[in-house]
Amino acid sequence: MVRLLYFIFFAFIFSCTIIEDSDITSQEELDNLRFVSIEIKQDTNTGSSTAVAKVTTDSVVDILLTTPSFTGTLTRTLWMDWPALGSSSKLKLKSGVTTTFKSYASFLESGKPWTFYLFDNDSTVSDQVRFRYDVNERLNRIISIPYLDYLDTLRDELIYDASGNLTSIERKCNSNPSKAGTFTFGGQNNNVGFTFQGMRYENACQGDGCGSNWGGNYHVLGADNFPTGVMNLTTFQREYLSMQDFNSINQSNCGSTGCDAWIDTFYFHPLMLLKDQLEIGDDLLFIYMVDWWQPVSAQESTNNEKVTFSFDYDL
Amino acid sequence: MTFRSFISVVMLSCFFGGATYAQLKLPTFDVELKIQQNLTPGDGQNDGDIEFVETTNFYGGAHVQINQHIALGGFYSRSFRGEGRIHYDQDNSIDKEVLQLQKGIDVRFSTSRAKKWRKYVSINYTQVEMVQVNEGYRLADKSNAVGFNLGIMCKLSNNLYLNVIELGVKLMSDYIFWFGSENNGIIDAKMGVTYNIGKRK
Repeated sequence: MVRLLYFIFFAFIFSCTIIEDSDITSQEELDNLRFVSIEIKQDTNTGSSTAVAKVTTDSVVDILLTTPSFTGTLTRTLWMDWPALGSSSKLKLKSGVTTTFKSYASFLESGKPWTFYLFDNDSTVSDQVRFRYDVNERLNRIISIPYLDYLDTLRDELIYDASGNLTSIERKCNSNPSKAGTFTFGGQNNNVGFTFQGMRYENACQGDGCGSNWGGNYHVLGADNFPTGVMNLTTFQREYLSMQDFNSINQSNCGSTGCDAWIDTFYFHPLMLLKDQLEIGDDLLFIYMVDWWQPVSAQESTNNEKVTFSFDYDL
Repeated sequence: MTFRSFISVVMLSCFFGGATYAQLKLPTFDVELKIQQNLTPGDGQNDGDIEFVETTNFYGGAHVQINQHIALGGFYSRSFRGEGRIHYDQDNSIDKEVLQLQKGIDVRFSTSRAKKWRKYVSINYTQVEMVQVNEGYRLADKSNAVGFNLGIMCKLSNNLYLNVIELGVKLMSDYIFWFGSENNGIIDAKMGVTYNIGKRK
């Protein structure tokens, strides 16, 4: 009898598990997580505010795509309603729209994004970003179309080496050559970074062998090697994305002249939502700082300001 | 053969074999209760990669003693606390609650009964489950593992031993999918007591 109880005891404990049916148990399930809303919290010098962007329609579709270089199927479309990002908002739309707006995104069967639209509250398209792929479904072009300034369409070609590593991006802008250029990768002082149009964007290393990091984990430097913008960018496993305008610059880094703080503007960019759907999404979010992060004016060092996206998922 | 059916076959063999053996010699088995500290190191090189996971578990086990040197049994160990440190933002990190469950079978080889100290080594086959609790969802994965432990116990009475320290290593057959690295080892330390039930040789 004792041995029978012994057996029953073991049978019981071996059937126990801490894994629940609702748990995410594979990378594929994690990739297919669908968020239902985003809480947008803004902490600025004028106070804090919280607003929510909600998914209104998340549809399964079956649309065959055929382009000269790519054949695939759109399987999902996502519509969202966004709160007004007013004129005093830290996060803005590049189109200048300050009222509520909508977004539309379509996705390939693999979950990778295909097209992203922003609509004004009167349903006029204001911005479009196209993600395009080669025959192996590797992202090779990102086309950004500002509809209010259509001639400034940016056509970025992503260039990879034989090992599949992104080595550079070439940006073309047919009607406005001043916006064109090449993203050349490589940082200084052990920083990770790239140079675009004479400005060096770096993800600062910290510790021995690193140069000045100016306090934030990302900065952009001019030719004089002094920052024209410092920020903290943090993102964590699809839970949140935080962009902090780092304005409390360590004055000892800038010699006798002291450091200016650049009061930045953050422009909404689809990669803030879609980066996790791309294999190099985190890298691209960094690289596309050139489009969504705009240090705009120098002033005395002051308080930091922050915009945080907290993603809420439906399991 | 699934893990559960494999375990069933092993345990049935163990118990029926043990029962037969017991008619001839010693119907003796033991139960053990321990506190287990686990550490699973990770690379932690890139944002989102695990730097380490550590959990503290309640550990329970039982063995049928084939003879005074060899015991065959199983164990169950579940965390009551734990955290995973995840790298992000260069040298920064974030801590997340982690749960861990270990269950499996083991064979323990021990030295002869002595007045005070008794050393032992055990080889185990374990199923490891890990769960990371994020704000909006939980990540979960499991893997089989093999490992061994070295320990020493101190005799407190005819039936009761104090497991002074037991150190072990396990190697998982699969990587935990969200770890972001190919580290698959678990090291652990245990302390507790073992109680013998049944006749003494």
